[in-house]
Amino acid sequence: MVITVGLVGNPNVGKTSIFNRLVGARQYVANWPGVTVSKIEGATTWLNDTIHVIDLPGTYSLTSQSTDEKVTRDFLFYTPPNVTVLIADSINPEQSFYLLIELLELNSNVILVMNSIDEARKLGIKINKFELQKHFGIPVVFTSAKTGEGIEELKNLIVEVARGKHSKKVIFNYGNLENLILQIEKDIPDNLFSNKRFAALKFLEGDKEIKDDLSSHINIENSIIENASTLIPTIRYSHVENIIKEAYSGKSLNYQRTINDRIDHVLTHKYFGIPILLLIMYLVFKFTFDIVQPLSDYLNFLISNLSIFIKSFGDNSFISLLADGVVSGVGGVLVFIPNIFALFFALGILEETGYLPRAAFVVDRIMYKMKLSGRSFMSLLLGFGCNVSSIMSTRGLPDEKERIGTILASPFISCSARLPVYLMITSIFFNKYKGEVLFSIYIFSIVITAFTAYFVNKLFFKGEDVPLVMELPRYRIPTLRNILIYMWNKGSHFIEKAGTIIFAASIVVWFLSYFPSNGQIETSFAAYLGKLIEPILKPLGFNWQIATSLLFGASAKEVIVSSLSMLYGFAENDLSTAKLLISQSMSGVSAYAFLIFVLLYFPCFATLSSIKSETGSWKWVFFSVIYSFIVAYIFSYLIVLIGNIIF
Amino acid sequence: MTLDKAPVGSKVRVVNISDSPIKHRLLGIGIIPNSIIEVVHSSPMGDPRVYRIFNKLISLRHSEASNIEVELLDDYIPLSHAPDGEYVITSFLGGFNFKKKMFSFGLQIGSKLTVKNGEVFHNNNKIFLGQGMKKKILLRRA
Repeated sequence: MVITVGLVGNPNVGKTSIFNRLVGARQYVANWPGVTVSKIEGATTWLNDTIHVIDLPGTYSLTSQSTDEKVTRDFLFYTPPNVTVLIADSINPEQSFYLLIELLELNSNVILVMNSIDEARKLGIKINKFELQKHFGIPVVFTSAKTGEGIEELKNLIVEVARGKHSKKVIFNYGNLENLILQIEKDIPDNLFSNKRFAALKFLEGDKEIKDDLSSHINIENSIIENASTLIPTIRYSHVENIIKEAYSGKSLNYQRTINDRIDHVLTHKYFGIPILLLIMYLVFKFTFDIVQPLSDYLNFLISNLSIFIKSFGDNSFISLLADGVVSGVGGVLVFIPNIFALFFALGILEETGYLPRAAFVVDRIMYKMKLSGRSFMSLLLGFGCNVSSIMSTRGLPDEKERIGTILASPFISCSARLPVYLMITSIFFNKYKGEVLFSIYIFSIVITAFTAYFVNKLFFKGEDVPLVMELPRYRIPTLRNILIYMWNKGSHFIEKAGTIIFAASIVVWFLSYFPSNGQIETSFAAYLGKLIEPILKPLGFNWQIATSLLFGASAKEVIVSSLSMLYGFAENDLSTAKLLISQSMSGVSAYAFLIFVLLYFPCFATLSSIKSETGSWKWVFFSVIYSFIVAYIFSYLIVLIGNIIF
Repeated sequence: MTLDKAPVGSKVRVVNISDSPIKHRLLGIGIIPNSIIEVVHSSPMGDPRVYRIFNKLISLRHSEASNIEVELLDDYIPLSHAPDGEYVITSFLGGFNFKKKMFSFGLQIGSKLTVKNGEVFHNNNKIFLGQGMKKKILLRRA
């Protein structure tokens, strides 16, 4: 039997950790049909059944306002899963129980998971399981995503509930409103909603969609709805408080609050908050770029040797395709895997500890000035990994203006695919100041991103701003397991890209540079193309090899590395000499201008296609291409001008 | 008073939430009439600020907090907002140096203060305090 399970919960209650515990690394990401929110699914086998788990977007309420909330609500309402699992926070259960009551008004096949039970115990909080089961009428399980406690019990319960273990239907009473609710239920046509009580409640709460569906059938004064829309949540919370009073005992929560407040006092401090944020970012990049470098160097050594080994078998176009096209091309990018995994490892730590929302909180005022919010800050931060994931995460943003602004600004966030280019150029030209040069590029990237967001909002949306309501979760000690899954999920995307787009691009680049004259690079197709656009890039100090590599870089930025090493490597047949040649072909100032050009010039094909799919319009794609090229050219030219005066 | 005007450190009771595109989310988080909100601290640039609702920390911008009508709780009135009357100091929001300074004025937790025509008296001596300092002294009615 295949059992579908929907995971529901507030943001930051450890929903993803429970999901990881249930299905392990066997998970995949798809899209919710019709909307732009990603759907995370996974499956696991338990005894004789297959449990298929869907991780629903975190929400506080089933009254839909943002796209995220709508996805969760619509999924549960229109296509209810066999079992719904609500993940609650044992330490701060109020908001979780509120959502649970809404959920029970919708479905009864619910399991309540009291997560972080280990932390609650440590704090001396006592929770009576049977009271919870009695009041909610559903099975309850205590879990800890950290230790794995309760996960087997949860799987057993999922199977039992799916097999029809009956839960007691509890009706939460709305006092004076009950008559009104009954009256609306009567007016709802049978064919419209099967769960009439839920629809009636949502109608009274002012849910836009349900209201639109029902407005022709129901005639109630607006002032009554206005009143009920506040009263219903208030009554729900009074139920929550009563249940907590019955089920909770033991120590109060003051201890944890103090520790949290002290950490917050430092990390979001009036004067130290922003410097600490910059310092943490600097450490993340130092870790990514400097500390794991020996690993990359070793991989580089292995790949060069493999290429030499293949060439020892002879000299024909097939051997050249293998050695210079496939191994050098893909391998030249694969050496950056340690860096990219290190970056996601560090970001995973920031996410798991609960620092990321603080970072958003600290910089919100600045982001707000750029017509962005803390939420989009987090989206943009993902862009440091890959602009595609950054653009895809903008789906969570409830506001169209902010989404467009973030989507068009995020290609300027320096993604990990540009990293190979920076690393190669800096190790040739700025070896002593590697960390500092890279840091300056990232600062550059942030400034241009902010400017673009502001510019886009001013240009297309007349400067209207966007709301932000965000939770700051309590600090947690991250688990290695979660960080590794996070790192693998994000990082493996890069390997996939290396295997597909970059593999194809490497072969095309090899083809264009090998033919028509069998490896004579100066007379190859690639050279003609590069020489064709060379005059445009001449003022920046770029020669035709650089121009050609930039052209190929449009398929994916890391291809610049493989095409450069091929364009130069062909002449001398080894990587270190190619590096020497590159360093002779450009001045240091032009090399820096090249780095900035690579940062800013038009987004890669994958990014452009996601701009198209997210905005649904070619208009934004064209805007992005033209705007970014102009920005790249202007800034690189300025750097060459100013640099030549100084040096 | 709206929530964005409540000083840091004070506790307030929600009176009303006006209609806005974020009303449902605020209600879902637990910002409902009669719930208690503590203003925890502000971000480096003063806006947004963090509020404690039940035990969760929620950040709101001033523009959003201004949708929430609140009143100060009697035990957490900052001196800067205290109308004329008799008060007892319940806590100081400053660090060690602030407390030391207050002590030099003869003020500590439990000291009685009188506010008359906006002026502050302790043991019938008038005390001159800046607006910033007044914000850091929390009172309850005596």
